[in-house]
Amino acid sequence: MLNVAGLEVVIRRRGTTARVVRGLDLSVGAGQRVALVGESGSGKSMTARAIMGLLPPTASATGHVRFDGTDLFEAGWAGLRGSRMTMVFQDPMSALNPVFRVEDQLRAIARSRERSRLAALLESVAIRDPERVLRSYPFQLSGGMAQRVLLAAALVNEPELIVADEPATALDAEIQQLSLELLARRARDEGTAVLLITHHLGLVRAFAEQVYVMREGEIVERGPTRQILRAPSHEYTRSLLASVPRLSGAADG
Amino acid sequence: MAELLAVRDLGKRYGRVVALDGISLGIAEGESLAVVGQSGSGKTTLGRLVVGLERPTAGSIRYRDGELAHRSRTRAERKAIQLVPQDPLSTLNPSRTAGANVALPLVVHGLPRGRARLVELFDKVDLAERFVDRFPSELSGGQRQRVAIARALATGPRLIVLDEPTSALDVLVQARVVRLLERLRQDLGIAYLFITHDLALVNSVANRVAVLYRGRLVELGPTDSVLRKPQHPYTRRLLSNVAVVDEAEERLKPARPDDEAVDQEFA
Repeated sequence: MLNVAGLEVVIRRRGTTARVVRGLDLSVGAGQRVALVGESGSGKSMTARAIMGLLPPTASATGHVRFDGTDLFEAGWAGLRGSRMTMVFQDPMSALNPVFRVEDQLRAIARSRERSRLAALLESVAIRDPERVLRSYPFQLSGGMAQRVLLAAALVNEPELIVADEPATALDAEIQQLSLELLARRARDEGTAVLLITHHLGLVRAFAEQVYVMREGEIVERGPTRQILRAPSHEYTRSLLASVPRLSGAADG
Repeated sequence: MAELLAVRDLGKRYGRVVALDGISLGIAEGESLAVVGQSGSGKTTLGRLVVGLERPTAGSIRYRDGELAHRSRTRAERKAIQLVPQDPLSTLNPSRTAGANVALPLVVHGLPRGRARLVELFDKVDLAERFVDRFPSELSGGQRQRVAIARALATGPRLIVLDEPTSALDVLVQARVVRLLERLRQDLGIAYLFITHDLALVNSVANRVAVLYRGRLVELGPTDSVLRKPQHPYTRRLLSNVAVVDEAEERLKPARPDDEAVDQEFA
């Protein structure tokens, strides 16, 4: 569904350039759950933005991003982004428009605008009283509810690819887990391809079948999640693993 | 250990909304107490009351021999209890250097604020002297949080309220900041009220843990026993949601109780 080959992203800032993504290869098949993991500054979010065609003006990308066989750097994202491929952002409150009710925000992007369908969609992301939420403005929602609305917005057009960039990182573990469960269900039931961007290997373990570990713009390790977590071969993966807080005792990363 | 801070039947209402209800807990000299709960549990409100950013609507907050709850704090009390917020970007002044930000509490409290003192404070949080002259926007998230910690240390506090100090950070940076905090606690004998939503983090940062749910204290005990034998279904639910990295850790997680069990126990 998604195939990235030789992706390079360069950022120009104050007369200097930085190569933040260096020759990255990555693919996500239909129904597959893949994670791209690394620290902030590793280039993982820039990779996500390059895939979605949402790079900041100071950044430029080369290489190939193919969606369902189409090279997006040549063909562009028109008719795809927001419908066949969507993104879930880190901070639900800043991603929702504060001056519109939830219903209007969903209607603005949805192909089908029947109210009953919107309500059913909200129910599918574990919102118990969809009618109230549809009538609400974002500030009237808790962080967890806003995150679910954001997820609903990403799902409303039944995309074939979802890129989730640290969903609900700033919120609590329960909402994080719920978001991932809902995405996993989409992958299983609808064959949606999901690319999760995160720094947390615990979330990778809970969610992804395949993992790519990224550092300083490059993939340093890739493979099946179970295998990489059990026997990481790269020092960087080991240090990421060691720094995850343990129930059994202090992390030592 | 002598009790440094004692909170009794603490309550906070905003109009009809009850943010905190009947909280009682104590913190000993040099102890780290974690306060855990989801968003909306009241944990940040508790921190704000302890620091004195807001006043409670019920109950008492004793620091050493002084009752703080319903009056303005003395200068000594304000110096003694400091805050490290979740997002230092929003509380560091972006138009002033990191050094000027750390110097502000020194100015406010009339303490020595020469370059040597700033360098000393930066050194305590493992930041080299050159960072004194940087602006917050030029620092990484971890460096900013170190600056916020240096600022909290400036007045020589006995208790620091840490409100989600690492939740905006990556795991690697988080691990380094947690190690720094633990070292400072041991070297300086400062007590922490460590607010977090991440129950997995508690082991690394606290001797005891208090679990808040909808403004009430549902569990309080030594970290080890709360993590291994959680008594309240809500604590079990929090534990069941922790994203762990291996099978051994997975076995430490209880099964997820259903919402009804949590609410019944609560009622």
